[in-house]
Amino acid sequence: MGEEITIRFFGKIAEKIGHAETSISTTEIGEMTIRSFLASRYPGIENYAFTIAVNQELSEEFTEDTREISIFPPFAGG
Amino acid sequence: MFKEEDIERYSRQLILDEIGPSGQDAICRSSVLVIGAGGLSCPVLSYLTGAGIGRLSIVDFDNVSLSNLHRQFLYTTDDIGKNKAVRAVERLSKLNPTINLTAYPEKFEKASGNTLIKSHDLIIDCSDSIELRYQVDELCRKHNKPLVFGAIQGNQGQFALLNTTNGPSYETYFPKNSGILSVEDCNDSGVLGPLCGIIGSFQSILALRHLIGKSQEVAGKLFILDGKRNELYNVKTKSKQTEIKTEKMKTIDPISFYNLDKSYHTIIDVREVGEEPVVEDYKRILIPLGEIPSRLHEIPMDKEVYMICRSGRRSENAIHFLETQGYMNLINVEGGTLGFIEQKENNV
Repeated sequence: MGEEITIRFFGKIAEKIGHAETSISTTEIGEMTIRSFLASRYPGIENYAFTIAVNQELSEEFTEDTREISIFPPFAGG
Repeated sequence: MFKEEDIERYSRQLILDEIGPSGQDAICRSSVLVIGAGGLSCPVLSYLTGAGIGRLSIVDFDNVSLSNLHRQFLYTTDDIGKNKAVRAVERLSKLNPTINLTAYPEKFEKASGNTLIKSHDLIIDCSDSIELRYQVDELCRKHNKPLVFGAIQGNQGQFALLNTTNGPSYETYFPKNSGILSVEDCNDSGVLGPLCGIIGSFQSILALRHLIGKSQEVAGKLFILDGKRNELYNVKTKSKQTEIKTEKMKTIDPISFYNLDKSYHTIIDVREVGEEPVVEDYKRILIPLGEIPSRLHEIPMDKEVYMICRSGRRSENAIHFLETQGYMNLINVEGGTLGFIEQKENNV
């Protein structure tokens, strides 16, 4: 079963994949890194510049405590 | 200190406990450089001019166009085709004629930008390209200038106060080359006018809080506003302590320490006054562990400093604490004075 994790997407990344939020089970990530999991679920996403935060802290490490992952690209407009 | 007119002009912020006469004085003495005179700049420039920034400089090569007017409220239809920085200064000088406003109607380039950044206390990035954001960030880091950045995309915005003492930079949050494809700017992706107003206003708050020295709770955090849900989301870097734990502390083993030419190095002994064993082979500064927080001024930051105690345990604790205070130049003497004496006896 595994724990449920929320993934939030911001900016153009959310537009490209078609949603701003999704829930997954920790078992879906398994032994993968967060980046490789995202690339497998959303092919092509790895070509875009984006930052990953885990539980609202900059980190790409998936741990037992991970409850929320957020994915955000740098915004350009001013 | 303030003219009568100034007291009235700034009265509504002067009466705020957080600002008061000393905060207003800090604002009036400060110099701020705003890069870009577009959607984010309109609120930033208006509020900072109103607040009384002593010297406010605006750099932008761009001219006003009809498609700007839905969000760039400093300009009117009559301004179309005119330079934004020049028009902004003309407009703002009517809002507050007591401050020093300068327009730089030019492209922000590395060489001229270097001089501009160097000559201001605080930099506000309201530009509209990621490439330029990296350039500004790099120059701010080079000259140790705090940076308030803001950016928008569709109905979302990002903003942060960066590069304050030991704080993260733009590149900390957005490492270069994390992906080969970038996202477009608002010229081709559209933006809701008031969103610029909100993000620019948040940037103004960060700038003023920094200038009055009250930004501890917000500095270093990246804020993302979701204008669709009206939600503010924040992200921070990993806490300093966490970073230090994963970083290996620099140490020196007892033999190397014994052989070190100690006349050229600063050695700090964190044992208590009069504690045994007494070592008189090298010059040391005695700062008992408990007194370290109040005697930071005696510990140099700009050269290697050897930290020693009886066995190496207390000096290790001292280094853990000092690293949270920004020290990166400390070396723990393994085995402490006991190790030193053992080496000395072996060598006799």
